[in-house]
Amino acid sequence: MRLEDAEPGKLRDRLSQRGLTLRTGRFTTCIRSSIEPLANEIINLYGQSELVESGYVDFNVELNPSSGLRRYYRPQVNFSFNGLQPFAPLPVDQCLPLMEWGLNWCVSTHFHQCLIIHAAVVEKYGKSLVLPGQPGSGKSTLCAALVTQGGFRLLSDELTLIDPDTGRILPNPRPVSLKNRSIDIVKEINPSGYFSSVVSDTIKGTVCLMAPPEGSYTQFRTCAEPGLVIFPTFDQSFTSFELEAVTKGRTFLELANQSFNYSILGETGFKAIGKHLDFAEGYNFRYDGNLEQAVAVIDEFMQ
Amino acid sequence: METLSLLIGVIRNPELIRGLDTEAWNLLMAQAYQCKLMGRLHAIFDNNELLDQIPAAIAWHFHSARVMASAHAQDVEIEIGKINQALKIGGLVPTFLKGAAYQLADKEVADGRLYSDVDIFVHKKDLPAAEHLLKINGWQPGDMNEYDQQYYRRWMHEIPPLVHRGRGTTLDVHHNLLPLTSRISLDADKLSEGIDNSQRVLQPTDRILHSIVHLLLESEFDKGIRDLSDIHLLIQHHGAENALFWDQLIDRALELGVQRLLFYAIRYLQKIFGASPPAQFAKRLAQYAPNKPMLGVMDWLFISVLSEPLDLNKQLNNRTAHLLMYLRGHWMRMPLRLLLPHLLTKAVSGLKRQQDETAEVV
Repeated sequence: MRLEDAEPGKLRDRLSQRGLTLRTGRFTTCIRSSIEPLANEIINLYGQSELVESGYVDFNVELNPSSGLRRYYRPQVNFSFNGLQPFAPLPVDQCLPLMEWGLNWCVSTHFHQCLIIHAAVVEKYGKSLVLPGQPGSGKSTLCAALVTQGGFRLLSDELTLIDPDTGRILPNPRPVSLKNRSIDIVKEINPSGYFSSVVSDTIKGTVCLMAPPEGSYTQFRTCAEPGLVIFPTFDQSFTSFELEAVTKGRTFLELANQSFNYSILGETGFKAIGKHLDFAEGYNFRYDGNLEQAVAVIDEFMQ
Repeated sequence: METLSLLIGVIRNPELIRGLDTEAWNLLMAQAYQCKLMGRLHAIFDNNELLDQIPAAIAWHFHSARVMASAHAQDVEIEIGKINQALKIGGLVPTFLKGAAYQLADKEVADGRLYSDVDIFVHKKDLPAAEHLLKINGWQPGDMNEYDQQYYRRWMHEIPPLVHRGRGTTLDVHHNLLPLTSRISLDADKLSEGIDNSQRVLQPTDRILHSIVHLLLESEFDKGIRDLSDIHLLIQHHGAENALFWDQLIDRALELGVQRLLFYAIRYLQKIFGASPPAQFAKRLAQYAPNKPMLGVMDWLFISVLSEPLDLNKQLNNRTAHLLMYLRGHWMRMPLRLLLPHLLTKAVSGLKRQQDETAEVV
């Protein structure tokens, strides 16, 4: 059963009591929280996700208000993973972004079966398109445009999981995290999509989460073959676009640099990038913000 | 979180996992994650040829934890090399303590274990030279406010933690084994007599006593069960290897003046992990027990904090035990006239703490 097919009252009760267990990407997470507004956001963002009634749980997380004086004075929220609190508390209105960051942390610090790269990744024609990028490069915007406009399948907007044995990408589809100016841009191109309430003044600026298109969550088992690695640069002073090949060596170094667990995996990490780049090619993509054109160009390039 | 009886039960008898259902596996993983024992569980299952008993859907958790632990072990080995190299120029030979010492001398404890830093000991007279050499080789004082700096320098047994500029690793340099203000003191000179220079670690009895003293004088027990399990593995290993070990352990505890703490440690190893030291040893150790009412209180406190991690959502009992042990830890380490102002300063700075700590991790 999917979350959206369940009685919302029941989901709210679970969240605040024994915990709401659902599929978040390729993992199973049990979330507990007494913070009421979080329930609706989870139901809307993960509506198409599977509600897990019984089975193994990968991550146990809680989002609860800080205790003591903090209940009354500028209330805060704590993220905890099996009782451990890896982050300092945040103002309670940042509960949803904190949950998403926390879930990313759960994966990037515990899942070492894959090399994990800080990059968005989508799929079309069976092939993956990896989009690494520093904040501001327009990686999330481009990723959102590709999945909402271009018919690409979302594999992840934050964590690219490369299987070291095959070089394939393992999907981990979750809501897309939009920041600052990209929020309005993406809302405009995806008027029928669900967007969470906008949270301002976070450490990453203003943040909003978008539910990915129908069907994104259900295909979490279908891996994607290596295809392209594109390093996007959003450049307003530029007109049109520019696509320029990047050498394998350069692409390798960039991916290793953007990896969360390259140093933990050692040789296995080296092998993972190597396998991926046996088939995938790297490009720099400089674009002026014309998303329609960008999506069309990339689509043609993928074929 | 319930008591850690499942996790402890599995460590005592790994064969138990053959009969676990889904819910029990979920609970076991939650407990092992909380206590940072996932890697050790993988090592235990591996040693007992039980890896194939882990359900396929969750096997990755255990495997990944072991991969992480191996990476930590490699990092520690590299760090040990770099530290030795940096200090060698000044003719200094550091003694490696705690986790790094396990890595050098107690592989069965190191296997699957995670490290947050490397601890070394140098004699107080060598400290200025050591600090200088470490500094020019890239280790720098970490971020710390003026109060904490002063606090370390004046009262602690170690200097403020150093962080390596390039590798980001943390190094604790000790010039004593316990805080200078501690009610129990471990004489650094006595301990260093036993340094095994080929390995640059304390001799086995002293390694164990050092770990015991650290655990039992703690204020926070979030890694308590992990540390107790370390000590369990240490005494099992050295007890099996050397027939004289048990007597040496008591003799050494007497020389260092920590016989009461040894008594407690062995008592809770027996009660929690079912350790079974020789009867003669247990009998000899029993004379260092406190009086009955005191023992009753300590049993409740130690067993509570070691086998039930602090959980703010839990009943009062658990929180009370953790609070009392928090105060005890500080009490043991500082006289009251220092302790009260210290706790007050910490409480105020805790309230002032802002969200910037979150920034780096997410």
